[in-house]
This record gives sequence, C-alpha cells and structure tokens, in this order.
Amino acid sequence: MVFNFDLLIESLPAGTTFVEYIIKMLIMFAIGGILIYLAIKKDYEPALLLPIGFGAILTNIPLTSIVTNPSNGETGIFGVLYDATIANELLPVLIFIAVGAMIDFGPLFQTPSMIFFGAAAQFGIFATMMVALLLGFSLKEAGAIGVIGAADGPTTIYVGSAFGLDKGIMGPLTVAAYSYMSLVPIIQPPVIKALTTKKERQIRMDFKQREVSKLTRIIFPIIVTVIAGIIAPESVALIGALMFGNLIRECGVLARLSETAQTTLANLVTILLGITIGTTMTAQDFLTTNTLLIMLLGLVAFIFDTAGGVLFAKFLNLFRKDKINPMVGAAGISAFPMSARVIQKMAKDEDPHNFILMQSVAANVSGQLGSVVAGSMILVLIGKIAGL
Amino acid sequence: MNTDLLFQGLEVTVKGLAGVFGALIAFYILIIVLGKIPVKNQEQEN
Repeated sequence: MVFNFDLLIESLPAGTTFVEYIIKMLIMFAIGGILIYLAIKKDYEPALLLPIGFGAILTNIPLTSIVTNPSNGETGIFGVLYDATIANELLPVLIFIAVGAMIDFGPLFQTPSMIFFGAAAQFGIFATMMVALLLGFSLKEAGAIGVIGAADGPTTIYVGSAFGLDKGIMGPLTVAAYSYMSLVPIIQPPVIKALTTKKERQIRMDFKQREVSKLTRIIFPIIVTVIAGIIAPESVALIGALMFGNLIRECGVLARLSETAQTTLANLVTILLGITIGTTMTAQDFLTTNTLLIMLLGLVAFIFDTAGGVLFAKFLNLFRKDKINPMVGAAGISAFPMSARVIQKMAKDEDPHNFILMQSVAANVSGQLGSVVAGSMILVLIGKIAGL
Repeated sequence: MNTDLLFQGLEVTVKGLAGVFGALIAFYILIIVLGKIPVKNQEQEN
C-alpha cells in the first residue's frame, strides 16, 4: 500500500492540525531516540529502554497499523500483544518467576533484622500516592503512580493493568519506573547525604557468617507465599511467581529450569514487555501534562522511599546499642542489586575499610518482598474502595 | 480539592503501611524460626 495522505488527514486526532501532528510525531521520535541513546551509550537499563524507545518510534510512524489499523480499525500485532500479555498482567507475573530464580535470600537469613528496611522503604509509595491525589489524579491512578517508588517495574505494570488504567497512563508509568530504576546511582546518594552525617555514614556493622540449611531455603518461599496470600490474597500471583522462581533455584534438582528462568524466560519476557509498552507511547497519549507529572512523581517516589529507609534506620539507632549504618536503610527499595552496590560504594568512599555489602543486599532483597506486598496492599485497599 | 478522596488516600496509606510491616514482621519471625533448622553435615561438606 502506498502512503495515503487523505487517510492520514482523516485519521488525525480530533482538534489536531496536520502541523501539530507532525511536530508531535517528531517529538516522539526524539524521545524514542533519547531512550535508545540512554540504553546504548549510558547503559541505563538497556534491555528495557531500547525496546521501549524503538516501540515509541514504531507506534508514531504515520498510518502505522501495528496497534490499530487506521483504515479499518482492526487491532494490529502489538495491539494483540498488549491485550494478551499486559492488559491481563501475564508478562509482569512471568518476569517475577525469572526474578525469583535470580534472588539469593542467603544474606537475609544471615541478618534477618534488615528485613524491616524492606518495609520502611515502601513509605515513598504511599507518600507519593498522597501527592498524586493532591495533584488531581484518581485514587487508582495515584496508587499505581506511587508504586513507581517501589523501584519495581513489573509490580508497577501489574498494578496499573489490574486497575485497568488506559495506555496514556501505562506508557509514562512504565517509562518512569524503568528509567528511574536505572538512575538509582544518581538519585539515592544526594538524598542519603542530605539525611546523614559523615559520622553516621562511617558506622561499621558486624556480620557473622553462618550456614543456612537447604531445608530452610526450600521452606522459606513456600511459607512466604502462604503468609502473603493470607494477608493480601491479591498478592498471590506476584509473590507466588516470585517464590516459585526462588523455589526452582533453591530446590537443587531443577538446575536447568532455574537457568532457563534466569536467562531465556527473563530475556523473552523483557523483549516483549519493552516493545509492547513502547508501542503504547503514541504522541496523542504520551505528550500530555499527565506524563510530565507522572515522571516528576516517579522521582518524588524514589526520593521518599530512600528517605523512608534512611530515617527508619536513624530511628532504630535511638534504641540500639549496635548502631546501624543508616545508608543500609536506603537499600530497602527493590532495585536489586543496584541499590546495595550504591550503598557499599558510598560506605567505601567514606571509609575504605567499611564493608556493609551483605547487610545492604539483605535490605535490598527485603525490598523485593516489601514492594510486592506494598503493591498488593494498594491493589487490595484501593480495589475495595473503588469496588473492583 | 476532593477531601473524601484524600481521606481515602490516608486510609490506604495507614492500612497499606501496616500491612507491609505486618507481612515483613511475619517473614522475620519465619526466618528466625527457620534459622533454627540445623545444617546437615552432608550439606556442610557440599
């Protein structure tokens, strides 16, 4: 089919002139290009930002039929993929199997008290939700925007899809969740430094290495699923997938499945997730004030989460004899293992002989649990209010 | 500004944070209990 100019004019969104349409298209091409640049040149979450960037370009080509055919209104291939894999929450759940297979809860078994930072660092989710409400978003939109602060892309997509948010919100939500996740090394340090003294950042923490039985590692994911399911039944899909992946890893008899989940499954889902989300970023839906606000609120959520973890550690230090390095609290977000690495690097910068990596990793894997539970609480509580 | 909506948000915040802390406290207790399971000699050799 040759380019049909008449059809293009007919299919322009209501109230949009041809010139406006072209300008918006070029802006979206530029945004797609920037995402691809960040992925390739800056190595910011390349596995996701590159497909998202390319998807953004694809979907803004005039008269493209990849989402919807403009001549007959039929659903295109990426429209089918969106409905079959994201709108029904399939891909976010599948990627959790892969994530579960990658997580080693060993450091958490060594330092169980770090688990509380996985809870405290979810403060940003709820604080950001309140800010989003003040800015005029609906309760469901505000809840999903808050979840960006969990630094957990799949949970953000899962909550947004479960709430049935439209593509105009889902695109910015996903881009914000994944782009800020990759910016953890830039966002967290200034927040931590603003809330702690040099002396606090130099606190050393004891770490006692001890063996963890295989039985413990096997029982843990099973019981966690049951407990989470009782507290928040809506969490079973996410936490069940996460813990299923972990059980495959720890059982000791499914090495091939564990390997497949960590590599092939993770890669396949990531490819489909990235490009399908990218194709939701049409100029009409993406170039809105809401997108700007969502990007801004995502940043706010990350800052609040980091602050929540650090301040909680400082609060605990008021009562503890063995002080906690408050920077560890910031690792309670779900960006694993990036946040733990950032904290260890900061500790080393302050004191070259300070080693708090294991405690940070323990807080970081707790953040994975905390973010899933927090996302599920948002689903349960808002679902109840909204009558879902 | 919709005050009802803000109160609903506050309700979600309080109950949500309570739920997150409640779940992770339960996981903490679980880890402590599971930590009591002895490591078998065979596992140590592995």
